[in-house]
Amino acid sequence: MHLELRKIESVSILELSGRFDAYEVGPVVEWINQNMEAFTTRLVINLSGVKFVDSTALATLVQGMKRCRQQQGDLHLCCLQQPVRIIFELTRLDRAIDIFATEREAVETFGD
Amino acid sequence: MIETQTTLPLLAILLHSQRPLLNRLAQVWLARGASSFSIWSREGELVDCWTNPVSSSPSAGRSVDLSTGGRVDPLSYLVAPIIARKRSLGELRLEISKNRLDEQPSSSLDQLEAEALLIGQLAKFESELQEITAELVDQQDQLLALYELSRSMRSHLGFQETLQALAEEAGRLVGSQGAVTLLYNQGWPSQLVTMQRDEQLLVAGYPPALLADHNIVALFWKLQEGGREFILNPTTPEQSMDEWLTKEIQNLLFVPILVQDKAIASLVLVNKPQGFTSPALKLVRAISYLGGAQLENVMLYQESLAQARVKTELELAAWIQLQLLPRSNPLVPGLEIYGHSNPALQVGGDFYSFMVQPGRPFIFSVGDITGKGLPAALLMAMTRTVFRNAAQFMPRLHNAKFPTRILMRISDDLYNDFTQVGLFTTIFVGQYDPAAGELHYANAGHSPVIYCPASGKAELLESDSPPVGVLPQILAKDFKLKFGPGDLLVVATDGFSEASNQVGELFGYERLLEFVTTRAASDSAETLGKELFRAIHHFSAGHNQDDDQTLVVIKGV
Repeated sequence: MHLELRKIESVSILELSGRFDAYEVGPVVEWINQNMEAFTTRLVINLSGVKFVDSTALATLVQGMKRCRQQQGDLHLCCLQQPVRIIFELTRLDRAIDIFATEREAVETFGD
Repeated sequence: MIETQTTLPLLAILLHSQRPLLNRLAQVWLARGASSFSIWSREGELVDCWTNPVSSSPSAGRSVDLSTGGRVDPLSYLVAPIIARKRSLGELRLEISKNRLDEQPSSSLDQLEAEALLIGQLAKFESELQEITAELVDQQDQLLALYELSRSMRSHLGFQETLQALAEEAGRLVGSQGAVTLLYNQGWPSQLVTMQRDEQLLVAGYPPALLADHNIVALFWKLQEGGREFILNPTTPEQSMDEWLTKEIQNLLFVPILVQDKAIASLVLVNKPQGFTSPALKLVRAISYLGGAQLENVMLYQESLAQARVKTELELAAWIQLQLLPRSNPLVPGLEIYGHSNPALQVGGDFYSFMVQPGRPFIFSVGDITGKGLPAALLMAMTRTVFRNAAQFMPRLHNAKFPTRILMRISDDLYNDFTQVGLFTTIFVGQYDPAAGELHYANAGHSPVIYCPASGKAELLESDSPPVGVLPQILAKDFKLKFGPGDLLVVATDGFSEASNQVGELFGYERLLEFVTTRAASDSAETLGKELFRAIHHFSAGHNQDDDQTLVVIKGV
């Protein structure tokens, strides 16, 4: 699992690549625990490099979403590969987390 | 021995061991006309004397001054010093009568001096032999002591008691008045080592006053951090005495103990009456080596004990979890029902539950908590309990549909808990209405759910709501299926659809749908369920089961 962080104004963008499952989820959980409350409440997670997510990864994303919303922010997902998108549709997590086709949309939807 | 003791014992030993040689030397001198041949100690005591029967006994106390070089008193004596290791042991004396000795006194003196030299050499060898023998005896004693030490320590299997025994035995063997062992905790699991004074250090030994003095223990700790041997005697010149030598400590020997090749323990001996010498250091090194081996044993024992404890607790948890799942498939008129669950680990986060109550509809549920193992298992037990409570106490309303209400109840009860621990659960809830020939269901994020109508193709029933624990409210609605004879519902968990084979290929939804379509008409619920487990097992042969696999099959008859 590789993490890359960018910032566009007040929005943090975390780009993940590799396998995102129970065995690889550690760095993301650590990042959320260390950074989210400190300076990030508007977070975009770019999953373009992720081919597979398991339920532990989904739980991590949901946890991140909840923490953002607790602080009047939000978590957006973007650039999901087809297998990952299917998992979000089957579990209907797409009704809980906003998913965008491009990173730009995911960022711009936050507004000012 | 020569330097520190009187010469008499050594000469006496020499006389004993070399008696034939000395007898022979004496006989030769006597035969040549000497009145007596005698050996004297450095202190002027007669050690032995051989006399000519016709002469008188030697006159004790007549001193001879060798330094004059004149081979003094040629009329009475020839004297030659016995020297060993450059020190005088005593002397050989020859009492002669000038008239009777058959040679010149000077050549006799040369011979006597040569003999004294020889005896001095013999004394030297004798002395060395004695030292070697004494050392061997000491080493034998130490070996026995170490054997006793290893025997006594093997009976201790806890860290504290091993450290205490090591300190006591080391102190006893070395003869010091105090002994302390220290063990540094390197992040071992807390169940292995219970730290007393603080989180970092385990200390044992005696006397209690030494251990109770925090300053002294802190000084020992400082040595532990240094990790090197350290001897402090009052004569040690280079040490800062003020720091170490106190009223309580007159001298000290610190030796690190290697445990699994790391200096994480140490042995400190305090106040040995004669101070710490090289032999004591050797002995303490050997003791600390044994101590390190024993501490490794203790560590391995404690680890295996902790593992056994965890294994037992997991087995118990697995047994309890098994008791929470239905023990048999219920008998419901109009339905065939099959349910089974295989956790990936000993315990898992999947569950299924059947509620059959007189005068109430048959309600069932299948759920999958995110994650695996004990955390998921704990929440599985909670979720199952809340489901059963909710299903049990729904109001007795004619034609009422409960699945969504049950999901809401579960969400209301558990949302905060799920949020707290960062998990969620998918849940499918179904309710059978035999009068209408219908099956009602609500689905919070669960898949795969497959419906296959009699004489139709299997289709996937998609969820309309995220799982419970994701959002504070449930978005699910109640849905209705025609459910008469031959209609089939398969509710599995993602352990089926995501089962993978050796090359990493997933079993997937297509295979599942095809399997159900093929067998729906011919198989009973139980046969189809068992065959599906077999098919998954066959597909993923040689590959570990990654996720819990739970399956409920319901067929109208």
